[in-house]
Amino acid sequence: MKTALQRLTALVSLPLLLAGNIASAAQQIIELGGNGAPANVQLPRGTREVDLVTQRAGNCRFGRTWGYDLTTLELWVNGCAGSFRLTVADPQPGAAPAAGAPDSSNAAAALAAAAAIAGIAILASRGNQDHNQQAAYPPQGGQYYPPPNGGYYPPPQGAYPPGGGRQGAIRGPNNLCLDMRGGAAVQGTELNVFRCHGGPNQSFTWTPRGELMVQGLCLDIANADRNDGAKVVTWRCNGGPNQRWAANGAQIQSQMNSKCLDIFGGNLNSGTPVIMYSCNGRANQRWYW
Amino acid sequence: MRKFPFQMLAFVALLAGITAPASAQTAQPTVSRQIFSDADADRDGYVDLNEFHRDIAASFVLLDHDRDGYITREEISSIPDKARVKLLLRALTAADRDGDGRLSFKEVITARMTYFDQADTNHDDRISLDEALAYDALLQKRIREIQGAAPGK
Repeated sequence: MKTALQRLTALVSLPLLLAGNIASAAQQIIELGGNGAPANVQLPRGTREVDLVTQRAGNCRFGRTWGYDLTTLELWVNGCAGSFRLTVADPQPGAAPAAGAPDSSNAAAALAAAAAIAGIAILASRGNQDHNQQAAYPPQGGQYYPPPNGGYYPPPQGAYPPGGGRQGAIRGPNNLCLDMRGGAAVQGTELNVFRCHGGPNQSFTWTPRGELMVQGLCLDIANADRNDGAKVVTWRCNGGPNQRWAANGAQIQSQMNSKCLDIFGGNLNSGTPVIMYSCNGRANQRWYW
Repeated sequence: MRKFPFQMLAFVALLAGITAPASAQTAQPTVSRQIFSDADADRDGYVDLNEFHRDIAASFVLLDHDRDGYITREEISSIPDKARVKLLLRALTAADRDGDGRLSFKEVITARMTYFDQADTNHDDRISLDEALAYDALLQKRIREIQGAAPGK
């Protein structure tokens, strides 16, 4: 095991010759290692994953004879030639959310990812299987299912309303929750953050269309304002694009303009308004459910 | 060490909480089986290096919120589960080889490839379900190591 690790480290740190060329930025395909020599190439900003599409020569195995680095943005081969497909997102943590409602808890997914890096679990990813009925990641102090030895996990009673959306608190930093100010289901009420208390004005439902409902109203960008700082209110659901949201990691983005739900000014205290702002990946734009 | 029983429970709970099977109706796949079958994209009964690396990249992207190429303590701390986050941060210090308080992609790859090699006991460069289950059985041992490595924190 030690030797494998050393081998990996040695491979990565080799002074590699630049021998690759990007066939087409639009195709996002890179051919590398054509002459059999070790080679590396710079990856474009925003690269999220590289996959081997076709092996041309050698024995291509990730981590052994080819690999990449999302920190330094390099793709390398050593004993492998092939064509590689890049998955490139916008380098800013903003544009292009996957449309629609999330199908599982992003907090659970983040914990699983960290646990895998810590070596507590061998695998982290959740696949594309139907997780709509999956157990919600339990809120703090809740019970944990299933029992470690197996068994299954019945969804909490009433947690998944007909239509398949998730329902529950949307947690921000500092034990703050997304909250309809004042708790009265009145159109035009501003959204703010408030200490999490589990009340109905902190219980949100993702609908399959990507709406976020609280007490029968929809989260709504006031007047469909496209600017940074636009107010977020509750409004009668009308299917408008200013009422459609998408989860992108821990960000909640508007499908209207891809801006992010943001705690105003990064002021992490109860009562601070929630507004729309250009996505930046900072703590005041991270939400978990 | 005084807190060990609680923290061990927390780790088991951590795994349990993140690994619920897809459907209550299906005939109770175990936690590990479900995760494994999710990762085994081509359904050949093995998680090979190709499938494993997608798992690594996806988990990295998920935690690098600001997309600067590093996972910071602050990014992990934003997960709203203080107890588990505290344990995870401690466990993650081993992966932070240069000790700069953040994890580069290379550090993440190095750590996870090490676990891959540990789990791949027959050295065929792929993880069978049995190997994954056996790795999970090492959980408690690993927790003790983590506890022993940072008793003062």
